[in-house]
Amino acid sequence: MEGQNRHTYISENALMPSQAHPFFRESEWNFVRGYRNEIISMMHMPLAAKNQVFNDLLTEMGYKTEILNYTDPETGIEKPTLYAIYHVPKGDDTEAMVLTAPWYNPEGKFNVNALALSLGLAKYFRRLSIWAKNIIIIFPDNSDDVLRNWVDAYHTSLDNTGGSIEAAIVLDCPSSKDYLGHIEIEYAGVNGQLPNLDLVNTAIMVAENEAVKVSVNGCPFGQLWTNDYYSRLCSLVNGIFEIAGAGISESLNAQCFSGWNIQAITIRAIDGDRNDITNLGRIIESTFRSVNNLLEKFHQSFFFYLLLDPKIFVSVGMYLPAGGLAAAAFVVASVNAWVGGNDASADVISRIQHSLLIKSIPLVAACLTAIASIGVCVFFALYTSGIFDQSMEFDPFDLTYKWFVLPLFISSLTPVVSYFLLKVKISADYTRALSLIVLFFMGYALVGLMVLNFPLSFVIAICASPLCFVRYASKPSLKRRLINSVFLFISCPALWLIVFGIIHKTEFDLDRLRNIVQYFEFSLLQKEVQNLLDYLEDVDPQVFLDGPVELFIGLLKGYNRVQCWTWIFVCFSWLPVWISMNLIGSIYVYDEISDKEVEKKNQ
Amino acid sequence: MKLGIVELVLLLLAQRGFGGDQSEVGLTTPAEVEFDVTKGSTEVDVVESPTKDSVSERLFVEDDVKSEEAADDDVANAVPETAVGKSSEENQLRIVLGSGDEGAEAVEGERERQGAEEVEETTATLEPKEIRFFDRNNKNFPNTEYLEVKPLHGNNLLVSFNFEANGTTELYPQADEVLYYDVIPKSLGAVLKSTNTRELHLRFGHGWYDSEVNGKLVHNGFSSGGTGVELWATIEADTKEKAFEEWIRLANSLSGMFCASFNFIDSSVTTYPEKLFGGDIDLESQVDLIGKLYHFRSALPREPICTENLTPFLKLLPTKGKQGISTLLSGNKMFNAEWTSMSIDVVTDCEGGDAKHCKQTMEQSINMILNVPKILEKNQMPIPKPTPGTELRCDESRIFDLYHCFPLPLSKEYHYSLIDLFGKAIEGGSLVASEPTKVCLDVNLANWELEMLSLSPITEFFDGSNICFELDTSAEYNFRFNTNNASDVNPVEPPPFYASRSLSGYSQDAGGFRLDLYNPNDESQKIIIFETLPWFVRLYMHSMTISVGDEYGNTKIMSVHDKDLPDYVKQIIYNPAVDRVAPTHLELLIEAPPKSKLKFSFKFDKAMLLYAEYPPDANHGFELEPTIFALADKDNNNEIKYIMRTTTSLLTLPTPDFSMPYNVIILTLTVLALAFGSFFNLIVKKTVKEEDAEILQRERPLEKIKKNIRGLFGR
Repeated sequence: MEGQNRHTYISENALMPSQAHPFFRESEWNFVRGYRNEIISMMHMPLAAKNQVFNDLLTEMGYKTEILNYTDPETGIEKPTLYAIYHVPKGDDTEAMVLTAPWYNPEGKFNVNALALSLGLAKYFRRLSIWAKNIIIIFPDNSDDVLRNWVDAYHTSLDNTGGSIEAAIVLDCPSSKDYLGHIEIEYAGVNGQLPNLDLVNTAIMVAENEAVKVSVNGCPFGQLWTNDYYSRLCSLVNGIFEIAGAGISESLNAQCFSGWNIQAITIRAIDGDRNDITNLGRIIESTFRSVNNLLEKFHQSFFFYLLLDPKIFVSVGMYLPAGGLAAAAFVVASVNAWVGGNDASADVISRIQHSLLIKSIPLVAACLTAIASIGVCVFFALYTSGIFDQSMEFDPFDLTYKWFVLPLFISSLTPVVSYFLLKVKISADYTRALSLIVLFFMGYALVGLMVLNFPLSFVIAICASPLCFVRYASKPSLKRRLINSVFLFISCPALWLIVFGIIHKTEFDLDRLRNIVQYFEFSLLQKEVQNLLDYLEDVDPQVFLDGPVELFIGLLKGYNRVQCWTWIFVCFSWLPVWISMNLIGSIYVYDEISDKEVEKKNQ
Repeated sequence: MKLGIVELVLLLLAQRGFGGDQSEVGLTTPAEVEFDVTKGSTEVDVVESPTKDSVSERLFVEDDVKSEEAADDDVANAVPETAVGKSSEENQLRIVLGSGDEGAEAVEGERERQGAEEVEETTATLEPKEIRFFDRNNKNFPNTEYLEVKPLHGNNLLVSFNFEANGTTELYPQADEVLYYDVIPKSLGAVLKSTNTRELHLRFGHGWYDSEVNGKLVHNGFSSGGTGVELWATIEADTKEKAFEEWIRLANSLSGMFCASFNFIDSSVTTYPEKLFGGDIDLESQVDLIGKLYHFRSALPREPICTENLTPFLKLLPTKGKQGISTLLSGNKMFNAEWTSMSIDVVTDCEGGDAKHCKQTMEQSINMILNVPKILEKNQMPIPKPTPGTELRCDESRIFDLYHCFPLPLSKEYHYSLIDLFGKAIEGGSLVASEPTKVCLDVNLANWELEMLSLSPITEFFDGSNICFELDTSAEYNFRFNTNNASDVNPVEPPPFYASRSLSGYSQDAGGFRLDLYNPNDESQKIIIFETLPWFVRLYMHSMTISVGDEYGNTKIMSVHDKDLPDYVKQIIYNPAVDRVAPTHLELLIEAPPKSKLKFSFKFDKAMLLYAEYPPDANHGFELEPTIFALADKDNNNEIKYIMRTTTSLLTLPTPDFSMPYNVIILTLTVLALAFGSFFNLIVKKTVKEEDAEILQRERPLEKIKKNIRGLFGR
């Protein structure tokens, strides 16, 4: 593992994290407590009234406030967003830094400390004369669609703006205690657009200087001090799934800022008693001061990384080959298909000797088939993406299972069914060309995606890899057709939708698995198995059905919510290739060589 | 006699102040000085005449010692080469120096066109033709100064410094004529003369102006600039090309003078304004000009404004920042303000129709908005350390103990003086002004108390809601403001409209911006929008959409093709950009209906710059200069009532990046493209022997047709 990763470093020297002494301490704490009491007392007020109280407080401090109205399209509830801009006197009003404190965190808890801290910081920021970039503080109802709506409006229609946003921090600290344990930094961005590593590094460095432990990729508290292969692997896998799944899950947090060239992170305070609340305030202060120091943009090459640990990262040059190899599997399979390797009935050597040429008509037909399947799938993706914006009523459950999972599962049985029912023959050149084209297309698409969104490309490449082994033949055996069906089934997008859906819903903890593997003991295994059984006994089986539904709905909504094109990409590459391979696996071909032999004999 | 000398020293000072060129003084040798003294009979008159005057004597008797010291100090500061003792002989010498200098300067100015170096050599030997002194008695010093202070809402304070100088000038001086630089310092005046600049306007701006709190811009915005620097001028020349050459020369000269990057002005940032910036005075209708007048305007929004721009500004003043209200202006205090703006306007007015006696005015002003609590806190605690627990101001109606404190709103009680705000008091009124330095404080006496702290008696009078003071001695003056309700201020006039600009870009290759305009008045207003965009912003005028929202919340959206558009957009002046040659120049005359919110949105493409066109130093993007909104008179569109500027906007251009990820993308895709190419060839082409190829070629349908055609023609 050594040599494959590096210690993080600050690439942009101007940032100078934690070089200045932060003064958000001592009596500032009294203010935070004062504000907290006030916030707790207005917990049950309607949002508009709460906004009004904050509005008055911030106006008094000298902020320019404005309220952006937003109506939840599903429930029709009004969720106005209050935001306050400090136009700093020494800047030129062209750049801004954003602090976001949603009223409710993704779990629906009242975000007491985050709100109190934001007010305390707002008051404190006015005292500093160092600001060169404007400061914007946002109080959305939640950090999902409401915040996203604000970000969109800021760049399209808001009257009062404070320049281009350079960095954003979303605060999630629902406790109302004075102390916190450690902080968790979430950095995933939609479509693989991670925030600049310098910003993440800055926040981490500042936090460590404040003696606050930082966890990334959901690393549990107990693993914060470990630095071995298994813990890092676990963190890496978690990180990959976090990034690959960005923009899909209900809680977006910092992902709301994706796509507008904004570096955004979420800081989540985890309960505990190691640090006090002003530590968190100082982390934000210091991070803002660092960003404030920036004379340029963030460095360009620092957007592609995988964090293993707050202080260790894998840079793009190190991880790309993995994705490249995974995608290359399809290219190799495609070459294999071309030379006829996919033809289970033919001898490859004789095939190569015979001819590598594909006749024009089957080639054109194969191309048209591929294009048609891609076209249909993309149309399907675009149609389904917009399905929730039209005023049609859909039952998400029906949509998932009736219209997606079930058809795909059934059609993955086509190779077997067609063995008995459908005995249409087609030119071997056609199937050869089709498998060649779609597999090559898959490889190409994955490589293209790899550089932009490595985790997604990697996950799809792994999940779809069995497609490479689907075979056709002139006289297929039932066994071959069964194998085809199995390969099609395990590479079916619907299957993985269910798997990931359940994993996400049941909050599967990879760390436990790591624990068993790393410190294997029979008693440990027994204990975990017992835990699992207990869980299965307690849990409502509905959860297993709901997980995939939520994931599917998230995928469908992703594009309209945050322009997340995961679903569109799946429908652009995986699904059409799967359908084409299904066709290939279910079809009979003319056995050209043997047919020719027959012809010769006839002559 | 002595008094007269003292006074003359002061006068001299004034002239030196206007002359501004000290290098020649050192060249004058004592021998020549003596020669001047004995020869110049006119000087004696001038020397004696003021001494006979009882008024001026009285004036100086009061503070003879002080003023003498001040004068000496000033001379020492202003003219270090000649700074010597205080003996009367030397003072006399200095008088002569002054007059000699004056004459020399005059001649030199005239010869400026032929070349400065040559002149410097001849200066010493030239005999002065005329000696000019300003007569204190007749108050014909050419300049005045005036300070205005007005508390605003939000504990802000408007401080406006105004300096004005008036003189006469000649549009077309003859080659052998004497030129005077008594009003406009020679450093600037010579440049203006040599470039035939009839009007010059300079603006330096910094910070963000909050028009909701601070109301209308002071002087209706005519002395305020946007972020960065801005320069516009009216130049007389025969042709536009010549005028442009002069414009570039002017910009280059000013660049060194004001330590600003005016030298970056070229045709790609220069606009030829039509509605705005067309000159304050219509010289063409007043006199017969030899050439034509051309207007140029340019702005550099990237320019940070700092002390280095303030120092040359102060040097143009007769007091050089050593006396009068300008003593308050120091860089470290001034640029701590919430918003600062400096302006210099030089205008030539030939109202009498005589090109030989035109009025030339130079106005300089500095306006700033100070946030008083911030400054006071900074004075008390330069580092923002936490407030000690005992000094916390907590709301006692809420939970309040050793740990909890809900902060009270800011105190309304304030006590501060000019020393708190500027670090020093006004060091005497300007004694080289045609009238005493005027300080006007616009405070609400119901809740405010003013204290004037000075050793010298002071004249005070009321001017509307202002309380004004005349500072006519060189004693120190300090004003102290005490209030128990700082929010009770004299009414602040709201601006006639509110406007802002925001970028709405979302990609590297295209973007857009929108202009928001709100007319809060009950009647419709005609507003001119002036927008200049650099050439790499490729604006699409057809993408202009206007949305008009009325007070009831109805919104009407119009595109350029809409037939209702002329109801709102009365006139469009549009000069599209030319790559690397000219910027986009857009002027819109619009009519904003009462209580309406107008939103203009435009789309543009971002051009790719050449590698070397990116700034070499650290940069965070490209600034777009502020949009200018001006309120035109209802009946006369050319008369501007109010003018304001938005802030700059930061534009990200596609930046070439040769770092690793992009290499990887390019490389992998190239490899794949190559792979695709060979795959494709292998699939659709077959390999044949050469002789077979010929046969095959002959059998191609096209060849057959060709053959048939050839057969038709009998070949």
